[in-house]
Amino acid sequence: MDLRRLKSDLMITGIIIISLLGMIPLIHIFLTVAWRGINVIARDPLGVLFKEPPIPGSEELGGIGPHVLGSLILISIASLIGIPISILSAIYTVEGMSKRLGPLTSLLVRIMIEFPTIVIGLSVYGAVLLIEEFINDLVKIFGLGGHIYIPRFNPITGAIALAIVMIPYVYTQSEDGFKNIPHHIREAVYSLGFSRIRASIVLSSYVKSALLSGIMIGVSKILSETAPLLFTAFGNDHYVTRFPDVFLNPIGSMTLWIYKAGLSPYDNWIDLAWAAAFILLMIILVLFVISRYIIYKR
Amino acid sequence: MAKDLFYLFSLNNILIMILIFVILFVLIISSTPLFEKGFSKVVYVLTSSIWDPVYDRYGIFFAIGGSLVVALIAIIIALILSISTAVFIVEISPSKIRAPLEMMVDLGVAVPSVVYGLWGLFILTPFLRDHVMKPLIDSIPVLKNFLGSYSPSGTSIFTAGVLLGIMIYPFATSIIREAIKLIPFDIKEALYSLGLTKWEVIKNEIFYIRNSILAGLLLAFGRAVGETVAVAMVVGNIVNPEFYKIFTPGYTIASLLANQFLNATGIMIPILYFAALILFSIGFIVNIIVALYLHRSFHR
Amino acid sequence: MQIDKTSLTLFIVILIIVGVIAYYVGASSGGISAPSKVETITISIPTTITTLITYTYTGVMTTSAMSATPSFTYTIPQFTTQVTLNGGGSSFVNPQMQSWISVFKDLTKGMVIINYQSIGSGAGQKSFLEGSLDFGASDIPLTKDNYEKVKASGRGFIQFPVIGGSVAVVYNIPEWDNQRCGPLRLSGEVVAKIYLGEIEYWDDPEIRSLQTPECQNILPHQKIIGAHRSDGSGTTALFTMWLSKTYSKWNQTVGYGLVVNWPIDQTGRGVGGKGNEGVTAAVKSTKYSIGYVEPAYAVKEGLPIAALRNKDGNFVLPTNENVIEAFKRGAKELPPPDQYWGDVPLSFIYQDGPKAYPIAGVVFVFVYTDLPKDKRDAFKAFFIWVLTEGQSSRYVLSGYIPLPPELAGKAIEYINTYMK
Repeated sequence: MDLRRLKSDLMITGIIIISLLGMIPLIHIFLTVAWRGINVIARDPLGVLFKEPPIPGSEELGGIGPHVLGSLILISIASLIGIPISILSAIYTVEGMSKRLGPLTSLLVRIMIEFPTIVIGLSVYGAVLLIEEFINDLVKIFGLGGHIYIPRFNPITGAIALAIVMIPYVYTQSEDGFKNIPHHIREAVYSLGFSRIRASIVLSSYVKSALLSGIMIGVSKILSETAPLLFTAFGNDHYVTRFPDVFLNPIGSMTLWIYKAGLSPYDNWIDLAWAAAFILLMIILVLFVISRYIIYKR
Repeated sequence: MAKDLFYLFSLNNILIMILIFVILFVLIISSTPLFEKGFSKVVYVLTSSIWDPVYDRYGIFFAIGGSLVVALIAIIIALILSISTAVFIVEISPSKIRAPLEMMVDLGVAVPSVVYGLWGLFILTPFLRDHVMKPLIDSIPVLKNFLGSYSPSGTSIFTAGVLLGIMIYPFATSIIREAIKLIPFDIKEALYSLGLTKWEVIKNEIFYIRNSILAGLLLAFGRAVGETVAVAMVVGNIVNPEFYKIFTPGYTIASLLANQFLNATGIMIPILYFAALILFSIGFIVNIIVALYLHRSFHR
Repeated sequence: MQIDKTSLTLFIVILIIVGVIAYYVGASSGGISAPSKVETITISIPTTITTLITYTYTGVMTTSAMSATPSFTYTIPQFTTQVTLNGGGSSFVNPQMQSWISVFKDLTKGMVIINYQSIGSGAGQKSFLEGSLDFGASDIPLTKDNYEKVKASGRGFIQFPVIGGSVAVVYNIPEWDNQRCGPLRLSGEVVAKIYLGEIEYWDDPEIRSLQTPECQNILPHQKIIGAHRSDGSGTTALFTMWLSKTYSKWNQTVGYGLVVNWPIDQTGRGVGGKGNEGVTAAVKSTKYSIGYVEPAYAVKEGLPIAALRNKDGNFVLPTNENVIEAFKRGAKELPPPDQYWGDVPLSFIYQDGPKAYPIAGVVFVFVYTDLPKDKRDAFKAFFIWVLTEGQSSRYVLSGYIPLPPELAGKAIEYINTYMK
């Protein structure tokens, strides 16, 4: 009897030690990023946020302005593409009561959720190449001269890759939200004689919090992505301010910057990588708290 | 009239499906130049470990092996950490610190992988080199034959595995934690009423939720295999046929893609797409198993 | 509660929109732009260069024949709308390129934006080839494969050098007394044999015979560890070219390229390092190792640099003077810019001349001549500026070696004649 108790106590102690041990790296990451990030940002807060990256290896600090802006642009476009698609298809899956399409989407999206994100970037890049080839074949067939060229690295391809990453997260959250609507409410809404579109809108406002937390999760997910952007957004250390050029030229993002600068040998770039990591982590923390708040209120 | 328009919503579902097929389509089309070279060439690429652009000879076995070894190390670490952490949070910890602990772990899921990579490069890599690899090799030189000699920078397959383990364990923890919470109360009560000690109860609970643990681990495995930037930052990126010597630097499929795709020309391009196809298939199979047989959506 | 959520949503949406707009406006309205400078630069240069540049670039550059020290002004054309040029490639040239870019941006009042990403020389060639980027930069000229593809596409293109550099052979032998014996002396053949695995120990007769008699016996009986780059790199290309040129067996078995299959790895005595800093770190922390890096890294980390035997049989170090001598000797042989340039770097390597350093190389830029007009103008202005003013000591960072005037003049000539 005593032996059993002793064994139990020992094992429990072991569990506690292991789990506390596991916490150490997590806490260490937050503290390191905060410590190093704040130290860099404190040197010139506005500069870090707005200036362009410095000459590598110089004494200058510079900033990550173009990358912050790039992240904002990429995420805005990706959200514009991804959110409507995922929410509307979730509505169709649940409210459309289709026998095949709905469940199939549901399954495929759940498969899609863990696609290696670098593969998505690679596919988008490959798709652009294939489309370009196709167009040029058409050009040749119709005997038109010249070579049509699609810019490969631009915010649009980057945003498409991010939207593909985002869709499953928003979709699953919205689908769960709609599925959890109590039966009597759905019945009540339909009994009012609304069309299905009107009914969906009414029901959407009922599950607003689920949709919102899905969006939050999706946005924070694509905010943290690097791999799909490597071959699509590519990175740009400068502000491009002329209108059409913004969408035709490579664009930076904070994650791309951290990857590039972190691996570079230049001290001032590495400093800025920590600053970018801190800013990124803060944004994600805010999104995290908001989505927690929404879930909590629900 | 308006009712009919609702069916337009289905276009979105169709679009999502098309997206998945386009991804697959592009990968296959782009790797056809390799398939056209014949079956034996594909087998050669899959089974040999060579990356020689001067003579255009490529074999990606080192990357496949590297991916699997890295994922295996990560899974072992994640398994130990996530089960204990989940049990600790739900069953052992005082209720006051439970919420902050859960918060902490959930935040760990949300931290961008590139931030893990940055931390891994500047903190974990030197730490493992000076406090794990160096003492181990120095004190037991025989191990060099099995683990390889560590590189001066400290980047290695082992480092990547440990970093990935730290990275994916919060995710596995949240799945296992939810599963433990869902164990019906009467089962717990029954276990305690048998006079079992706390450890024995926990053991039974873990057994009870073994499917969720399996699902969590499978999904974590999928993540580990597909993870790119964090691994690319610490794995060393060296063509290493002896990838099982875990203290030596190596490549994974994903880091091979990240490092080599932009300078690929000629036959290297279809080979890299083929590598991406393998990566895609691994993710696909893992998720199908989870979605079809383990039935639950654990995705948050 | 309902209102709360609605307002929250609205708040976030507005926040994002406002953020984007604010950033955008902030970026374009000079909140971040640097103070503008005058666009006209006047620098003094030796007579020989002036005559050469006057000859090749009379249109924009003018020489004042009267003054005793001739000077020329290069007026950067006015850019009224913003132009963005995208380039990428060689990581070696990255700091220098970013420095040029930032100065040039100020000179054009922020109108010419050049985005240069250091993605590696191989990627630079490929991105140029596929048209993913407007120009590519690489430590070696277009490879045979890539050249043939560009030719097959039928599009006009040029390539030209922009800046020079060299590769230093570094070593870590604790016993070696640099004070007394000077730098270790090595020849291409010996280094090739080391990396082939044929020479195994530091006290090999072949290594000893290169040293001064009094220092021959210092070399220890220790196995040589060979460090090399693990990533695709122009440094590797130049280094392996040198080995190929000096030892025919290396040429037959390994060859040269951005990435090669290192025979020493098979013997278990090879170490890979990512980037120059990776190899530097590997040599520094591994006793009895040898490696190759750009000299700036060796100097920064205090690694001893070996003196290499050049074609004339002298042992030389990679000083600016010695490297420039190598460029001058090779410069005569610059072919037309749309030809295959594969042999051009070979002409800088192991060049004759009493002081010529044997592993010297230049960074090449590739561009299609049919760029859209605004981009073409920006490209021409930028690179002509780079090849004139950009080569002055004011703008060349340490670790880089300015092109000799012969080469710079030739490059300007190519840009002007082929990109009208």
